[in-house]
Parts: sequence; C-alpha cells; structure tokens
Amino acid sequence: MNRKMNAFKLVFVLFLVGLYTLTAAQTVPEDFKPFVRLGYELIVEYYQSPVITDNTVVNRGKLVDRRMMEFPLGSGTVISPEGLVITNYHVYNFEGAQEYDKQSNQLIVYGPASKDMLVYELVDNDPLKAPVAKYIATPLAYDSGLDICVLKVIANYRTGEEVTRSDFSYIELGNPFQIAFNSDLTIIGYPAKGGDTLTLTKGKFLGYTANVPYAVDGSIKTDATMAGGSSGGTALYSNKLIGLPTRGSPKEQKGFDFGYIHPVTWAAGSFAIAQIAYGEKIPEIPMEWIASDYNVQATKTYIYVGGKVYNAQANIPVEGAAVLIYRGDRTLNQIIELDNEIQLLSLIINVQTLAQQGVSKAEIAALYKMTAAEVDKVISINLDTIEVSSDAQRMLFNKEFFYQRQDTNKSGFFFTSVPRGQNLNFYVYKQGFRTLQKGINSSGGLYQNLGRIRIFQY
Amino acid sequence: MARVKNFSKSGILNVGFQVIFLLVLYLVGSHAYLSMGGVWRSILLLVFVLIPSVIWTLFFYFQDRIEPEPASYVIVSFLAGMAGAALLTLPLEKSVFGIGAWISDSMASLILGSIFVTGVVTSFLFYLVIRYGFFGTEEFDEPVDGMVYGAFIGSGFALIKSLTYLSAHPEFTLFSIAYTATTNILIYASVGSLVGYIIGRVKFLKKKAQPASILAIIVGMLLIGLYHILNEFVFLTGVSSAIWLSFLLTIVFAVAILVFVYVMMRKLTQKPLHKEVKVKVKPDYLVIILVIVFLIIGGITRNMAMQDVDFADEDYGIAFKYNPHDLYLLPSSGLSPIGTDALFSKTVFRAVGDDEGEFIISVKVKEETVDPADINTLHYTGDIDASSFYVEESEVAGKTGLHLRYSYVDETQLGAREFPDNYWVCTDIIPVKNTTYVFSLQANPKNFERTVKMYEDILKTVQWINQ
Repeated sequence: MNRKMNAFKLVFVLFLVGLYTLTAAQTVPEDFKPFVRLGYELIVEYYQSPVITDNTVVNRGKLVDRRMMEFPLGSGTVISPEGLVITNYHVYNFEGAQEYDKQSNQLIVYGPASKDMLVYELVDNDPLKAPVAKYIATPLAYDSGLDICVLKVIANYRTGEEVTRSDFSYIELGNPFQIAFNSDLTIIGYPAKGGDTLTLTKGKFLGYTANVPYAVDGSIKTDATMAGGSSGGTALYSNKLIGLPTRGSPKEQKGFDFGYIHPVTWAAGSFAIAQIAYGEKIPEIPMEWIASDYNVQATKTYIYVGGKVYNAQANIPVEGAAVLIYRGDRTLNQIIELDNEIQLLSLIINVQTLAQQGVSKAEIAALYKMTAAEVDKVISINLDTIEVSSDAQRMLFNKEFFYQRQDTNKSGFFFTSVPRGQNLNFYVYKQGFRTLQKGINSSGGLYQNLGRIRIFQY
Repeated sequence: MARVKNFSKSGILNVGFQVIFLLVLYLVGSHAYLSMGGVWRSILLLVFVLIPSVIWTLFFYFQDRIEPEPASYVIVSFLAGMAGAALLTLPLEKSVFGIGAWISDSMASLILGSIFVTGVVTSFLFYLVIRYGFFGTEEFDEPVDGMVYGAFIGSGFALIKSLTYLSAHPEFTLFSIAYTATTNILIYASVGSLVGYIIGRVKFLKKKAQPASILAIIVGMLLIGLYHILNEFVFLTGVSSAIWLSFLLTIVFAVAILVFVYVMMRKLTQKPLHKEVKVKVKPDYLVIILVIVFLIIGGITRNMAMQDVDFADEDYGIAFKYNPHDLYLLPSSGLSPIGTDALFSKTVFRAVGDDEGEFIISVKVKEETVDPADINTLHYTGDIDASSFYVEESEVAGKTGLHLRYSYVDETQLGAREFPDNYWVCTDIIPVKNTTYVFSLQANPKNFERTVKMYEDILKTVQWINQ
C-alpha cells in the first residue's frame, strides 16, 4: 500500500514539475520593459548636385541642409537592474550610410551623431504601443567576432540628465546549453518587417550549428521567424535570456529559413571588460553552463584576465605600459625568441590563408605592404619545409597558450584566451618605473580581475 | 637621566607626529594633488616638505637644550646641508655619475652604486660640513653637538633632495609627497647625526681626527647604501603597500641609528672629556684620497653598467654593440615586420625601445648576392604609400649599400574614430659577398632624432666577422 502511495506521489510530483516546465517555457513575459529597441541619433546632410561616377561619389556637391533624426537599427535586452543592455555588435557598429535621391538630385549622407546609442522603451509597458527613445546608452565592450556588444544606460535622452538608477526591469540569463530538444523558444525584438511595435514570435529549439555557412559554430538553431531588426534582441527559454537573435539563413539558400541565435554565454568576454575596466555589476554566467559539451567557444578552457596598471606614487592609471603574461614554465628570453618566430610564421600563414580564401593578390599586397611578386613568393612557400620550433608549432597549430602582450590604455589591459588554473608569469615594463615581475595563478572561474597593479616610479 | 627621558619621550612623540602626518595625508591625500601651477605649487610643495623637517629638526634641537647651540649655527648647518646637496652631491650623483640610468640594471650595480656613489657623495658632504664648518668652533663644546649639527646638515640635505625629486614629479599625490619628504629627512638626518657624532667625539677624547673621519665616511656610506638597497628590494616586491613598508623600513632604520648614537654618546659623556674646545682643523689628506678611491670604484661601476653590450652572430658574420639602457627585449605589440624581405630572411637581432612611443631596431640577413647599384628599394619598404622618401648611399663598416629614410601612415590600424599611426623608418641595405644585411629602425616620430642617433651609433660599431 505504502509502495503504491509512494509511486503515486512520485508520478504526481513529476506531473507538477512537467506542468511547471511546460507553462514556464510557454509563458509570455508580463514585463516588456527590458525588451528595448536600439538606434542612433543621426546627422543627416543633404548635398545638392553631387558628382557620381560608376556608383562612386566623386564630389558630394554643395551642402544645402543638415538635420538630426532618430534612427532605430535593431533590438536589445536590459540584463541588469543598473541598466546594462546587450545587443549584437553589428547593431552597434553603424558607421553611416549615403543615398542618392534622383528626383531632387541630392546626395543624402547619414552619420551617427555620437558613439552612444538611443534606447527605445515601451510606453506604459504596453507591447502594443510603439516604443520611444528614452535613454542614451554608452558602449562598454564588444566582441566583433562573436557579434556581441554590451552597453550601459547613462542618461535620459529627453532631459540629458544622468541616469544612475538600479531599478531597471531586466531579464535574467538562462543556460543556453540546457534546452530540451524541440522545445519552444520565444523571440522578441523589433524587426523592420514588424513595424515600429514589438514583435514576438515563437519557434522550436533545433540544436546548435556546425559548419553552417554564415553562422558561427555553436549558434542556436531555430525555426522562429526572425528578420532584419530582430538582431540583438531576445531569445527566451523559460522566460530567461538564452541568446541573441543574430542572423537568418542566407536568402540564396533554397528552402525554409532558419534563425541563428548567439548563446548568451558568448557575452562572457564583454561582461569581463565591463566588470574589469568599468567596475560594472554584471550578470553571472555559471561555470557549469560554460562546461557544457555543447559549448564550442574558447571560454570552455580559457579565461579572461584584466586589470589596470597604476602609478603607485601618483595614483593614476599608467598608459603605454607593456604587460606580458606568459607560461610559468618558460623564461622571458624563451618567449622573446618564440615571438620572433611567430611573427614571421603568422605573416606567411595569414597571406596564404587569404590567398586560399580568394582574396586578390593586389589586396594582399596592399594589406601587407608587399609587391605582387613577393605575394607570389609567400604563397609558394611550403610551410612543411620550414624549420619550426616545437613551441611555435604548439602555439600556432594547437592553439596552445604561450604568451600574450598588451600595452595598457585608459581601460587598463585585457587578455582573452588565458588558460584556466595555470601557473603564469606576469611582467610589467614601463620606462621610468621599476619593472614588475611575478608569478600568478589563473583562476578557475571565467574572469580574473587582477585589480590595480601598482608600479613604482624611480 | 633627564636627557635619556627627554630623548625617548620626544623621540616617541616625534615618531608619533610623523606617523600621524603620513596617515592623515594617506587618508586625505591619496587622491589629492598640488594641481595649481606656478609659484603657489612651489610654495605648497615647500610647506609639505618642510613639515617633517620641522618635526625632526626640533627633535634634534631639543636634545641639546641644556647647553643649546646658537640658533644661527644650527640654521647655518641646515643651510649648508641644503647648499651641499644642491651644489655638490646631487650634481655629482645625477649629472656626473648619471646614476638613474644604470643603478637598477643589476644586483651588482644596485649594491655598488648605492654604496660607492650615493653613499659616498652624501657621507662626504656631511663630513666636509661638520669637519671644516663646525668642528673647530667654540660652540662645538659637547659630544651631543656633533649629533645635532650632523642631523641639521642631513635635514637640509633631505629638504633639497626631496624638493628636487618632487619638482620632477608634479603628478605625485600629497601622500607620496609626504612619504618622500618623511623618509628622506629620517634617513639623512639620522645618518648625519651618526657621522657628526663619530667625527665630533675625537674632539673630546683628544684623539686623532683623521681615522675618525675615515670611519665616519665609511659608516655613513655603508648605511646610506644599505638603506637604498633594502628600500629598492621593498619596491621590487611590487606589493601594493610598498610605500608603507618602505616607511616602516625607514623609521626602523632611523630609530636604530639614533638610539645607537644616543647610547654611544651617553657612554662618552661618562668618560673624562678633554676640555679644549677650540681646535685648529687640518686637512685630512687620507680622507680625500679614500673618497677619491671610492668615487673611482663608483665610476668604474658606472662605466661597466653603461657599457654597450656586444652582439655577435657568427653564422651570419656580423657583430656590433648596443646600449641595453636604450633597448629592451620584449615581444613587440603592434609594429609589423619592416619590409617584406623579412619573409625570406632571418632576423638576427630585434630589440624594442620605448621613448614616448615604441620603436624597433632590427637586423635581418638574407643569403643572396646583390649589386649595390641594383638594389630594389621596394623589396625593403614594401608597397607602401610613403608620405616622404629619401635615398642616399650608405656605408657600414667599409661596405657600401643604400640608406632609406621614409615615413608612412599605417592604414591597417586606422579605426573609424581614431587617428592613424604614423611611422618613420630608417633602413640600411648592405650587401656583403653573398649576404645582404638589412638594418632597420621603425618608430613613432615623437622622439625620432634621439632614436636615429641610437640606431646610427649601433651602425658605427658594426664589424663583419670572417668576411
């Protein structure tokens, strides 16, 4: 009897858990404020009678008018009560555009008024009303390769007043590598096709990409409808942000369209910069997410290490200090020899890779300041016949960590791809200061903030 | 007994004042600067540097309160310390020995430089002023006077040393200013008092002055040298609290010296002392000879440290000298290899310098025979869009070739909102038999003339081995 009761209890509990999971997965969020639209305040210049030859502007003509306009470009999500916003790098990276209006014979040139973005928030938290530009957000960090950008709300767009709130509605992060196959994902954003109001679509989780053209390996694959403008928006699973809708399958590929979502764990590097360089509170990405078999990014074995070099006597950051981090089992001289070798080999490999990718010899020659004949010579080099040291081979071909060097700037220094949990040497050199050399252990976490490294002036 | 109490009581009080002064400036001055310009900055700097001076000079002055020295004498001793620092010691240390450029090169240069340059010139100054300024006077009439005069000379010396150093560092916080002023006065006043005591005691024991003077100079130079070495170790640890550790070291060092001086002085006063207070001071020839010998050792240390380093690559038959103080060995950050012949040649030497901007000096070799008249400059510059270009004949160690000088804008580093990097380059292409040597300097133009001189100095030392 007891056994029967226990079995019944177990089934009941499992039923409740299943029901909760199902409802949680399918719930539409109640608070829509974190789903923001992002854009720029543009300077629009009108040039009369431009000279255009072969689609190239030879002369812009006479400037006849200049106006300002708000221009939404994509979507974003507020991810912290302090107003951190995450989006795609390609949404942020808008350099400007120009178009020719044949009717008025005018060239219209658009350019962002500043590097800060406009944040459009829903009016009355109503998803049926169009959002309005309410805040200005400044970029803190980005990763162009993984197409992630993290911004911070800093001011009220209308009044210009500084915003230091810590009560923003925000979305928590979810584990992008623990999604049940074929379960529902919710995509929220502002695709242009959906007009000015918020668009919410649903689709299935179809796994992670591998060798998909135009998609970064490890992206989340979905059949949810996404379109231009969805970029940088929100992909929810169990009402948590698991990724950023980033791109759709290319139009030239026949068949049904897929959407590709960049897992939110790819923001780890940008979060680390926001924390280390700007002292921002960042959402936590637990190590167990990173350790997933489905995570194919370098964060699985590497950490981010950053800090600031300070003049101890002046208590100010030191710019231009050489910071070197290298393996604990190598000497500085060994690293210098390795660097000489790597520079040379990298050049050969880069040139050959570009040539294999179909980049023209003229472009390669311009990029590497070579003559065409020299490009030919480089391409003809057989790397197998070159004597390469074991360390150089391990560094170049096995992507093993040996060293990284950076010069500090206002934000300090920031190393990516530093091996987790290893003995390393840390070396800081700046003329006029005492050289700092010490051993460090890289942390077992995702980031390591070395804080203020003080060097002492002579 | 009253003197002992006075010494310990006022000593503790002064150490207390000193700690409070530093602590207050740590709390309020860790982020505060003398940001005003001109005269006001100088006046405020002087005030901050004078505070620890006042604390310690009062301490020493009151040690002599039973039979105090005339105020004019102690003021003159303070001014003499200042003058000696400004006119003798610092010019010798900085300009003649150029100690800043080499003392931190190695453990040997740190030890020898600290003792045989900094230690000797400072100790010698204290000796000169005490021995020839006050030793023979009537006012120098009790053992404590040597300590007082020595301390005042050391304080004056410390004031100038602090002002000179801090004037060159306008970016320092008030805390760092206070630390510098405090540690300098503590160390030089205490060593000054010891030197003063050793020199002065012979006056009351009717002993020969010359051996005492030699002992005073040796003790002074060793203590100052030892302090500098230990202090440097503290900073080389790189710990964030190094300034406080250095302060702790200084105060322990100074207190130990002062207690030692005081104990010795107490012992001395218990002996029957010679009462003749006015003596004729004769020149101490042996002291002068000794100091010259010490300075020669300092000079040899400097020359050895500043010596150019030999570089030789026997495989490629080239040798030259370079100055390790101008160039350091680090992987470069962003400067790409110069010219594309790097691809077909071997880099035998590459060193990086930092002169308000990174520069690279490299030597590459390529096994090919080229007629100097047939050198294709494009092979060595790459297909760059040079902003300026100059070619002339070059001669390196008797071999002729081409000398190129050009500048270019590195458009690959041109970001949307950044100015492009501009580089200036010197390249010398020297064919020697079946090998072509390519010497290059690539730099930002901030201090190009100095780096070109450095590059040309290297070329002047080139030797072809086995050619």
